[in-house]
Amino acid sequence: MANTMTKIASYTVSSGGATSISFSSIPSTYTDLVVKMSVRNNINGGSPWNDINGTFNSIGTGYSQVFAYGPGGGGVAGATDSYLDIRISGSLSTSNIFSNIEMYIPNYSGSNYKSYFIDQIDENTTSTFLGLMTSGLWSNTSSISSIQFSSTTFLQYSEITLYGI
Amino acid sequence: MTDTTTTQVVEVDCSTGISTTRPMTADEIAAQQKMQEDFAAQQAAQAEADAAKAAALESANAKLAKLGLTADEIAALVG
Repeated sequence: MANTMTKIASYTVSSGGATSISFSSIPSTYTDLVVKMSVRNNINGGSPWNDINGTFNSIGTGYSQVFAYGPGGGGVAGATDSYLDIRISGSLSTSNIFSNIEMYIPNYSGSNYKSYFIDQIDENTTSTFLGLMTSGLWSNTSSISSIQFSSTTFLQYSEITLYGI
Repeated sequence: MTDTTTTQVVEVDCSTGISTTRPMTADEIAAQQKMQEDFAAQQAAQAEADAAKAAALESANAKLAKLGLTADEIAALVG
């Protein structure tokens, strides 16, 4: 029987907003994890997009990632980060636009270092957008039992869903 | 969509499906502040790198023009 994607948990932000959203007690019975997000925050960092942080097991160290990004109308460039970083739509994005993000974490419960991949596209207007492809590594052998995403404030209707495969 | 800053942390327990909301602890507030400072520093570094790259490109184009290349030829060369 083919493997299937099973919804583990989901959270939709209410009108009060949320500084961080974490998923704890993640069962170790799956092979891989998938996180899907539709999110927006209230940061004004001088561009339509800004960063949020992710952590596994509430540990903020051991991350390295490289990403290729292409803003609408420009070429593709690359950059690196020393933390789990995801760029999302902020207060300078067009109203009511939410970033679409998928994060894949293979072999999350094994004893090896944990790799992850993030694909996303953030629309701003019909002619400006930000596309990102990120490949990251968490240099830690612990099984991932919790995932946390932190922002200044995730705005109402932001939604994060965790799936197991 | 309410656009106000909050200090509420949401925790979803995957074993029960129950989500709880609580105020941030002092440590979490400090960590968030550091994240914002790191982001600002990264943005500044990126802006500086972009400006240096643009200046280098402008300088290179000027030197190519001095060699006698037309604007179309420079565009064809550097893309």
